[in-house]
Amino acid sequence: MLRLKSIHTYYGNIHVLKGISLHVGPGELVALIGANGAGKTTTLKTISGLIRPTKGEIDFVGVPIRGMAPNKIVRKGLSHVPEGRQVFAKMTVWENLELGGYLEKNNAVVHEAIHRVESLFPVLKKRRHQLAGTLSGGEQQMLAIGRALMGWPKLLLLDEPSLGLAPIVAHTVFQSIARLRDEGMTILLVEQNARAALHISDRAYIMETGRMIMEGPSRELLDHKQIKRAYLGKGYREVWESP
Amino acid sequence: MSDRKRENERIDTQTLEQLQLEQLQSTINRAWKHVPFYKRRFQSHGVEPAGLRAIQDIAALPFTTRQDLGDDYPYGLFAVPLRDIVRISPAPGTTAKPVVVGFTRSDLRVRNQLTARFLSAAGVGDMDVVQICLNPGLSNWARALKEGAEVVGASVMPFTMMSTAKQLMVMEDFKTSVLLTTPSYGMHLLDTMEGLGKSARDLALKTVLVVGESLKDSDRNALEMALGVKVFVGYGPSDVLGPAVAFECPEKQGLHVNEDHFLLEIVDPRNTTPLPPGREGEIVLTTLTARAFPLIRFRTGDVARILEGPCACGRTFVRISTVSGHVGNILTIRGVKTHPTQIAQILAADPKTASSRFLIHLYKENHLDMVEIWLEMTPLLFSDEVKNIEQVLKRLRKHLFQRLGLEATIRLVESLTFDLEDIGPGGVVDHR
Amino acid sequence: MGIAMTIWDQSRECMSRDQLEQLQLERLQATLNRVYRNVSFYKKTFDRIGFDPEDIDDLGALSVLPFTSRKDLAAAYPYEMFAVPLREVVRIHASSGTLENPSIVGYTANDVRHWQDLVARLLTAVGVTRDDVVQVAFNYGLFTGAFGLHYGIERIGASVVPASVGNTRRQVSILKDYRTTTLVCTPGYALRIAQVLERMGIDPKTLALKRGIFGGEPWDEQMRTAVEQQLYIRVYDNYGLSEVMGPGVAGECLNRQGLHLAEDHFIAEIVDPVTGQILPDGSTGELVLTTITKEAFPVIRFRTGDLTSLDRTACPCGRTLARIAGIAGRCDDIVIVKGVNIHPVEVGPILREVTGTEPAYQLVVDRDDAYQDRLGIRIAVSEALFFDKMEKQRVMVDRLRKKIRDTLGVTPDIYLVEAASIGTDSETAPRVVDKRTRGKPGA
Repeated sequence: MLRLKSIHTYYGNIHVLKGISLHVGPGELVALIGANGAGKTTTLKTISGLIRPTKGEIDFVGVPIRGMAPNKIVRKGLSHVPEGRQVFAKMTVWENLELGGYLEKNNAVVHEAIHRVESLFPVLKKRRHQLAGTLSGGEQQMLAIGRALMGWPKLLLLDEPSLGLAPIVAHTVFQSIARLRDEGMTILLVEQNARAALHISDRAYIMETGRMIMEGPSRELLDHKQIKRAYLGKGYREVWESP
Repeated sequence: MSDRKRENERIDTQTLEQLQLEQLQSTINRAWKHVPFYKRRFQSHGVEPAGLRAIQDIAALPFTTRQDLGDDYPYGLFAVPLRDIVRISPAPGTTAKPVVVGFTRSDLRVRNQLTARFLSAAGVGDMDVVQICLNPGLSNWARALKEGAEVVGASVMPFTMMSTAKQLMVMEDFKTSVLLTTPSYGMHLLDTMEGLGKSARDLALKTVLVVGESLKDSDRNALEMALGVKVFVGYGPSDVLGPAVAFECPEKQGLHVNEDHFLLEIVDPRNTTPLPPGREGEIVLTTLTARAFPLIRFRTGDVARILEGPCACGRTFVRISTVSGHVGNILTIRGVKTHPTQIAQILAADPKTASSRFLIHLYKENHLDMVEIWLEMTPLLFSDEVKNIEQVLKRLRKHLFQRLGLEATIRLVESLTFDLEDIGPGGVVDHR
Repeated sequence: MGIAMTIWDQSRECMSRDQLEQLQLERLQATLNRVYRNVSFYKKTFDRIGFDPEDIDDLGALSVLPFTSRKDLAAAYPYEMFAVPLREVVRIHASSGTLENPSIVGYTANDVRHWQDLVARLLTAVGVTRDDVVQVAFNYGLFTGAFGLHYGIERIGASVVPASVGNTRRQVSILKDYRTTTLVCTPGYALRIAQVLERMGIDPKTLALKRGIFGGEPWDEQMRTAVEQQLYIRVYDNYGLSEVMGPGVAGECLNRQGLHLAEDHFIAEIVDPVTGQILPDGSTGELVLTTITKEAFPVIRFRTGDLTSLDRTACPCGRTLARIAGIAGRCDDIVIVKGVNIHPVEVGPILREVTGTEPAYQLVVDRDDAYQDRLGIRIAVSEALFFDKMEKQRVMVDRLRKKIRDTLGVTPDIYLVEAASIGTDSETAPRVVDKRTRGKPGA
């Protein structure tokens, strides 16, 4: 579905991505994990065309998209949900979603898509006529994702969907993402909450200072002592660790 | 689930008893249904699973002895079909027939968890480098300990047969911090170090865990002083169960029995009546969670007593004293259990020594158990060529080692010797 | 169910080349990033040639990196090659046949898991399932063979019998009583078992034995046929080496047209053993392996010393992983005798220790009638080694034999020979004469 081969990206003189390769297969939920400043967001922006890489290849559904304009990439079926729950606060939930379907001219199709999103996120249906600005953080995040889903993209890029959410709210967001994958959506998820991301994803990449240092099935990485220490917090204890 | 297991070590008595009763009942039911040996045995004692309503009712069940374990060789005592078995451990056994112990995946997991309990109670963790020095006769345990050490995250070297000097070289080079061995090998190691002019400073050792034999207080002190280590003891019957049926905690006031997996009884070895806490008797174990190879009221032959009262470490599992002796004719040689008849069989199987009488002498040399077999010179064995006799002895030594894991010396003696000894042929003289 | 039953991990073993190469690139980049940061040896080597891991933009770029040799590994003794702190390591094995000059290889919990899965692959590829009883007749210990296979067998849920080695009669009893279906050992040992069966009057046809999975020593089609005819089983080859992981690196499928290499974990190159030039597919040369998932003990462009060739064409079994031909021999000085790696240079110091001098010597490796490896050591007689009394000489030879056995792990035959028959110039006289057949399996 998506393939990056040895991508190098600069911000001015700063070499941010130093030869990143990754791939996402159809129907996969892949997590990209790393500390702040590791280059996760840059990777997403590079994929969706917001930043141009200096070197490397990006293929999406078998077509090279490196250097393509962001809106063209969107038309190919790649949807990017940036961090920070970007919704139009002064519009209703319904209007926000309609806006997400701007590529589609046929109103009936748009409405059908809204219903589909609402069935995925029932809370949006409940809040249909509320202004987006009055929604809770978690609901806004679902709305942001819902808007990206309006064109039913082939690939969804999610940047830090749990950022700034209370743990319990984050949990529902993660559940919705897992459900999306179960519906067949292909997702590349960038997350600081490594534990949750590893729990719901199929595979994951670990990034450090612009380089990949590990790749593998998520359940293996969850068990990984180094990753536990670095990303899952030191609070964990094993059975036999003496009291 | 793993959290629950940790809690188990501090389980309250009532919950434990409930858990034990549930597990005991299902163990008995499974044994009855799937192991013909147990069904036969129960029936001949006129008991059936439904009669077991409280833990105390176990007293009505028949015992299982080492003699029984060879029955229905090889797979007859398995309580699950072979396709559920992932490991089959051939053990020399202590009778004519070898004992074949099987493990399901969950059996291995349980055994590894119990070994991990033992190791972590001794403070072994992921910063440690673990070396295992056990007699080859204990290779099943060497694997069990290796797997347990992997579970606690330590770096483990699988056991390898090497001379003691080489073990020491590895210990020094690999910066081993934890040694798993038998008490006698530990003492032997001390001597070897002295001979090589090595001291604790050359090593990174912190902890020594001993299994297989009982540990004398004097030996514990010697090891702790000379090596600057802490010594911990683990207990299990080496022929059928793992090395951590019971284990010492840092309080070193006896060994905690893993009561969530084994039911402990202490009985009078003469008449098998159960003994109250404090009284010394034979350890009898019933497995509560074993899937492949359940044991019901297994007489271990090991003698110990229950220590009363709670332990300061907070673990609620009952404690037993270190094993103080053995009942029956089972010999424990460097941790390996052997019955004299097994030696007799090997001698009888060789045409040259089939009619020779023999005596087994056990003694200690450099802290290691030594076996010397006094073998009667007979016309059958005699030959003008010394070479021929030597060949027979070499063959016997090889068989003793390969079948029983015993490194024995064989001394040829005149027939007269047997008439002078108090003890009959085939007997054991234990100088230890 | 047909294909699924004989392929352990279809998603990996049957990947398209394109997908596989993408995965290899991702994993190679991550591995290079890790070793550059964590292993001082690789940091130094990379810095020396001015290489930064970010320079690897495609798989072909791997060839700019220097090779890693066994000597490099030994120099890092004990733990310098580890790419993770010791606390991450759960298992330690030794790589060499001797402990005089070993290298230590470590495994993290993840490494051990991958290892199990790779062994499970090769077992599944030859039809082993959870219904099988698998007898492992390798020595359990510091070397990787037995444990590697053991846990792979448990992984697929078959019953493993850790029979270890020695006492062939007991092996045979186990084979018979336990109804073993699959025998795992060296091919030479399988022939020994066949002999003992015959001597014990047991008809191999009455056994439950179906197949043998062999490795650990060089062998050929002739031996395969011999075992198959004597034991009435099908026999499969597999390949692995401790420095890289242990058994599980490559294994035959039911088609037996080469050994499928786990390319999602190892990148293989075939190079000219003399020039180090990469050779095209199909030509025989030295196998060079790079690990791309190993965490504790990664190796970059490791020269295995094993001669083979690479075949990337499709296999009828459906696996897309490239196949290597059965090992045709070795191109370095190491000889493998009874599964033990022996460096001929290790004999010298032993000779010096026992005799006080270091005479010229030569290793002669042969097979006896029963296909058992035999190690002979020809030692040039000199003044210092000449004794008036035969008895004294015999004692010396005995000591030598014992010392070599203790050090190298193989009992040799010692021959005292005229100096002229060996030659003292190492340029002209080979240190090792290997008389074992080295026909190429599958050829």
